[in-house]
This record gives sequence, structure tokens and C-alpha cells, in this order.
Amino acid sequence: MKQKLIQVLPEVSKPARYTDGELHAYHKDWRQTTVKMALAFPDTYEIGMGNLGFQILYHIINQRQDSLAERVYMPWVDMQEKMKEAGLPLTALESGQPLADFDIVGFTLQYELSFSNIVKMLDLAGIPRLSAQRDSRHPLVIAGGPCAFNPEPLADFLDCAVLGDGEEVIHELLDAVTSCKEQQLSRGDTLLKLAWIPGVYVPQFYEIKYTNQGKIKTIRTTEAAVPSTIVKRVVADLDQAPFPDRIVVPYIQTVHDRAIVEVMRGCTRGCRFCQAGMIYRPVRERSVETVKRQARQLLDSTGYEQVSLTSLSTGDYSKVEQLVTELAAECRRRGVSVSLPSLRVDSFSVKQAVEIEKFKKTGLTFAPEAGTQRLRDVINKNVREEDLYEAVDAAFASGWFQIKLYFMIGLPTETWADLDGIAALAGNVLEIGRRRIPKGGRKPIVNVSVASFVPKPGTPFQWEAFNDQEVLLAKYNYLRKQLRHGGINFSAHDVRASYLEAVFARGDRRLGRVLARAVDLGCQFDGWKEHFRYDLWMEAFRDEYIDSEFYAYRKRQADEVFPWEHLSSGVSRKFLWLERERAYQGVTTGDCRFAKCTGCCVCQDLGVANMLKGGDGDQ
Amino acid sequence: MGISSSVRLRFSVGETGRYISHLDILRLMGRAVRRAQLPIAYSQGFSPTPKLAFASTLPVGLTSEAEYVDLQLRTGIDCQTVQARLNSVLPEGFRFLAGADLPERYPALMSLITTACYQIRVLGDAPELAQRIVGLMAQDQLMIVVKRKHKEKQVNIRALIDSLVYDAPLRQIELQCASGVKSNLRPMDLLPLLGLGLGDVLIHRSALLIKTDAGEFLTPFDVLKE
Repeated sequence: MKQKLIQVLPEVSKPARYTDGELHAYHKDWRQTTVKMALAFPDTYEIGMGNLGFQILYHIINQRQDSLAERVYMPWVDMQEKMKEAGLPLTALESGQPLADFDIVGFTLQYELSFSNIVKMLDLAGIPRLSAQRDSRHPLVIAGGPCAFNPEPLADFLDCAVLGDGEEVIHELLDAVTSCKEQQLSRGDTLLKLAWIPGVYVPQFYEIKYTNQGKIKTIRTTEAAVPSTIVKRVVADLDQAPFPDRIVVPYIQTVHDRAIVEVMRGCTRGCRFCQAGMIYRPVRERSVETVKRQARQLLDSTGYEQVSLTSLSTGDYSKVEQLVTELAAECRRRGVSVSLPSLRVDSFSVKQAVEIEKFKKTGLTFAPEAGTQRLRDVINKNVREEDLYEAVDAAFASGWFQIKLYFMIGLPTETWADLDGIAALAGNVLEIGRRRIPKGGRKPIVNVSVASFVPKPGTPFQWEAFNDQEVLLAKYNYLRKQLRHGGINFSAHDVRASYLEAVFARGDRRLGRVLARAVDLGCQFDGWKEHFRYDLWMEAFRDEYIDSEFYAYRKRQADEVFPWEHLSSGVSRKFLWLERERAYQGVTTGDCRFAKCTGCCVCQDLGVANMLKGGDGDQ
Repeated sequence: MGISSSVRLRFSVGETGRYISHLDILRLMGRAVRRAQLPIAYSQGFSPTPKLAFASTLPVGLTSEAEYVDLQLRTGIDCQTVQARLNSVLPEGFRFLAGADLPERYPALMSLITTACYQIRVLGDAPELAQRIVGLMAQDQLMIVVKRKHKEKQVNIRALIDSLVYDAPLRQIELQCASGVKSNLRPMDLLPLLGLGLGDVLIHRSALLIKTDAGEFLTPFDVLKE
């Protein structure tokens, strides 16, 4: 199989995506290994290789004697054509074995616009699309990642979905599959066993009933032994969690092509639009020592020239100053640079950036998210205008000349005044740059990047409507005019892509038919501008008699039964509703790391707690 | 601290490395040097990079047994040690084959190279290839179309070819041609004249040479003995 694949390589773009043999890739004995799992990333090799979670699971599984993990990415369209011509199915990178020959195919659900690629990958692999069409000859098709908190549009395609942190549950899953294989259990019995594992959701054991208006009436279990609510898995102490001392180093340049260390998981800032900030609670920090050790190990084993300290908000790590200072000093001796992917909007964060980026001062990104204090209070983004100005002032003074500002439009309660606020903020930042940058220096550039707000499951805004496409376009046009200014660049996100994201983010099982139809029509790589075919998607909705606006534009009622009602991140629905009400009152909510408990219920219900290792417990 | 020693190494690019671009090979070697914890010298300036100087850029799609790189080290280490340490950390598809210590002063490797040898393995049937090659070599003008950034240009490459022969039993074309900063022929650009496509051949670089004023061909190692 591999030989045949090699023959088509000269004729495809970026053949090194498909060649394997990278440093630290595992090549385990196919015949000697009991459980074989393919880790499938529904996007290109370059995108997939930058995903840390994928690398962690790859490492954990391959550390087991009885299991192996191999990688597979979505082949680019030219490769798909060559595979079709040569009659080749989708194969795993390492062994070249067909995907269909694995025991488990595990997809990562990073974003809604990759759903079509999942269906397409099943097609390319020759695996029947629907769970109901598969039997014990076929692999189990499972999924995890942030979109697993509402995997309903994929419910018919998946055998199961895993909610929350994967480090522990992956072992339970592999153990269960091993024992099911040994006992030669039927597909149905295997799934019953899997449904018994906490955090594992088997969609086919849940029956959805709808009201006459098409809303969900009830979600009921069809088997007595399965839980009525699936609660996410959570690793209590990240210092104890397995972390790879080596990761696969690609030959070709990929996104995030550097050593990545996760300094903490979870964020309790409580931004009301942010799904990650809700579903990954509570905050669990790694100790300074652990982070430094893991960085050292990764740099030793990979030879990377850069290490990135990743998390949802690394600036909030309790001992960020100590960590950055110590690590940067150590790295400087090695000729390695340190990067912080997310910068908080304050001058303190800029000081850290100064500390680590002594030389390269290309650009700094800040995310005020909204243009006025009123709207920032609504979304609970606790950034004051003065903070931003102080931060950019410090940045310009320290030698940066390019600032990127990230905003969202279409947020609940938004008015035109909020858009004016975006323009004013950008103008003021530019003005600060002009004042601050010494004469003879480069001219300041402000890049304003604006995306459309998409309501996400499990957030206080899960009840909200997605802003009308026409209105969003008008807002973008308005902003574009307001920002027509020397020194300011404006970029807007594709409204139609956001619309589709909004439909699928809160979609239910009935969308599975649309998804299948869209793939039949040729939809794939929806996240790629050059491949996104909105017209074909709309055709698919029409063909299946499904109204996409019902999913995107409808404001949900307080007591609406959500498609993900039976899937829990531990954050209570009551808390989310309360937060929504506070949003409309313009009342902010504090961060439970520094202020009192906000009552989201994660700690109580999951038996965990914020763990600020950088803080007191460390010494 | 001054530069304490430099070494020249020859390495191969195997099947797995065939599709790795020069820029990616550069990055890969930089990382290998770090993994091997060699005391490499770094460039000064905004983003320090390890001091590695390559002889040539290998076109994407080729294998090779004749790639050369000069390494500047901060402390003295002999070339065997450098070679062994690098080989222990290299990924599949790349291997260091030989090395030599460099004198204190030496010219930039890339500026020296004038010539390369290629073995072009023909995969399918090519019955008239032998005659075709004889015919080509008898001409004093060989025009090819070279595409460079949206522009197409007619170029006469006859003077760039030292020798072109076909080894029928091995089904292999042996090509020796100009390679380097002064004049350069990419072996794949020759294929249309031979009636071959990219998918019909496997190209391997077997030597990189330096032509002396006396008309002799030396390897980058030989030149050190002069």
C-alpha cells in the first residue's frame, strides 16, 4: 500500500505531508499489538501537527505495551484525486495500513467547519459513514475535543464521543476495547461496555423526541444501563498528568512548529461568549518546576529553536513573572526563544513580552473583543480602555510598531455606538503609536481583525441568536468605512462561514443528513476560503428540507431543551442562565481565582478545585 | 571567544528526505545540531541562527549522497565526533557519511561548487532514449523553457552539460552538468528534451564537484588537500 502511495507523490503538492519517518514517530509492530488506534485529524497535516492534545494522546497510547497509535490527516484535494485514480484508500502515516483495518479511529473535533472533512475521511477510508451501518468488522469511530460538548450533528456517524480531558479516559477506553475484543463481543455489546465508562457518550443509546415546532421535547436513554447525563472527565492535578518528553518533529514547516508546554488548563475569567473558558474549568496550573522540566526535556529531544508556554491565558498563570524570567534566561543560553501565545491586555503583560522578545519585535496582539466599556461589561471581558492604552503605550515605547486588535461583532445588545467604539479605540491606539515611537522610527501600524460572534453550547450566550447575515455585512461595511485611515488595516471574517459555524455549533442530530448531503455535493475543507462552498451547503439544506435559520437565528427560550442537554461540562445550567441575565444588566462577574466562588458548580460537582500551583502550594 | 574549529561534512538524503525543501533541511539540520548538543557558533543579530553553510540547494524530489555542509564550532571537536553525534539524532532519510576538519581560513563552500553529477533512473520503457541522447549531444544548441516567477525564458543549456550518457542495462542516465552560483542546470529541466516527465524518473545526485583552472574535478574534500 505504501509503495503505491509513494508512486503518486511526485504529482501532488507538498508530498512531504504523506511521507512519514519524522523524528520521534512511533513504528510499532502491527501484528504484535492488540489494540490499534488511528488518531485522525480532519484537516491538513500542517494544521494537525500543531495540535498538542493530539501529540499527548499519541504518546500515551504508544507508551502502552498492548496498543499502538498512528496518525492520519485529511489529504489535500490533489492527493484525493490521485488516490482515487490509483484505487488507494485512506491509510495511516506510519504503517501505511488502511484506516479501515484499525480497531479505533479517533477524530479530534476542534472546530465545526471540519465536520465535513470527518465524513469525507470516512468515505476515503471506505468505512461506512453511519454507526448503524458498521459492525464488528469495522473500526469504532470515536471523537473528542472541544466540539464533543455538542457532537449531535455527528451523532449518527460516531460510535462514541469522549468529553473532557483525555489523559486518563484513554486508558479506560483502550482497556475496554481490549477486553471486548478478547471476549469477541458484538458491536452493540461493545458500545454498552464503553457507555459504562465515565465521560464516554454513545449517541445511539439516546433517543431524541421533537415538538411540533421542531424543538427538542425530550432526550431519553434507550438502555437501562447508560447514564442519563454524561459528565466530562477532568484531570485533577496536571503535575501528575502524563506529558510527552518528546513529540513528533515534522520535516516541513507546520503551524506551531515549536516545543509547546501547557502551563495550565482551564480559565475562570468568565468571558460569557467563550466556550473554552466554560468547558475546561477549573483552573489547574502546573508548577514552575514542572513547566521548566518539561520545556527542557522537549527542547533536548526535539532541538526546537522556540518554546511556547501555552494555555487559554498564560498571562494569568500565578507565577508567570518568575516562570518567564527563569525560563527565558535558561533558553537564552541555549539559543532558544520563548513565546507567550496569549497576551493579557495590560502593561504588565507587555513587560513580559519585553523580557522574552529582546530582538524580534514584529507584532503584538491584544483582544479587547468589544469597542465600548458597556459591551465589554456585557460579555464580562474585564478590560478597561486605560489598560489597553497603557499596554500599547508600553509596547510602542519598547520598540514594537505593529499592534493587532481583535474584536467581535454581532454580540448580544450591540448597537452602532459599539462599532464606533471599535473605530475610536483603533484610532487612539494609532495616535499613541505616533506620539510614542521616536522620530525616525517606523510608522505605527494597527491591524484591526473582526470576527462575527457565534453563540456556543455550554456558555451563558447559548440562548442567543446569531446576528443576521445582512446586518453583519452592513456592520462590516460600516466599520470598514470608519477605519479607512492611513496606518489602520481592517480585516473581516467571512460572514457565511460564521453562519454555518453557528448552525452546526448548536445543531442537533437532524443536521447529520445535511452534512452527508453536503459531502455528497462536494463540500470539504470548509475552513479553507478556496474550498468553502456556501452555495452547495444551502443546496444541501434545501435537499434535506432543513431550515438552517432555525438553528442560527432563533433566540432560544429560557426552558429550551438543548441538543446537548445530556452532556455536561460540570458548569450548571442555572449558573449559565444567571450569567446571561447579568450580561443583560451589564453586571460583571469576578474571577474565582482572585475573588469569591461564582457558583458555577464545577468544583463541587466534579470533586475538583482550582489548583494554583504557581501560587502558595508550590514552595 | 573566537571560532575554535570548523568541520566539513558530507551527507545523504534518502527516500524519506526526497520531498523536504532546502529551507526545511536547513531547519532540520539546525535542530539536529541542537539535539546533539554540539557547541555550534551562532550568527549575531536579531534572531541568532546556527552557523551552518551548505554547498548547494538540493531540488525538491531528489535523493542525494553528495550534500555538504560546513559547521562552525565554538570549541574544538574532531569531525568524526561531530559526525557520530549528529548521526545519532538525525531522523530517517538523512545520514552523515564523511567528514574533514577545516583549516582556519577557507572560502565559502557554496561559491566553490561548479559541477554536479546525477543518476536519472528511468522507471518505464524508453526504447529510443540511447539514440535520442546521442542526437542531443551532437547538437550545439539545446533550448529549454525555464519558468521563473511567472516569466518564461528560452535558455540554451548545451554549454552547461559536460556529459550525458545512457546506461541501458541499468536504465539509468548519467548526467554531469554545471551546478552552482555561476551557472546551474536543474536536472528536471532537461527531462522534456528526453521525452520524459517528472513521474517517469527518479533522480539522484551522486557528486558535487569543483572544477579547477587546470580542468580537474575535485570533491569538496579533495580541495582541502590541495
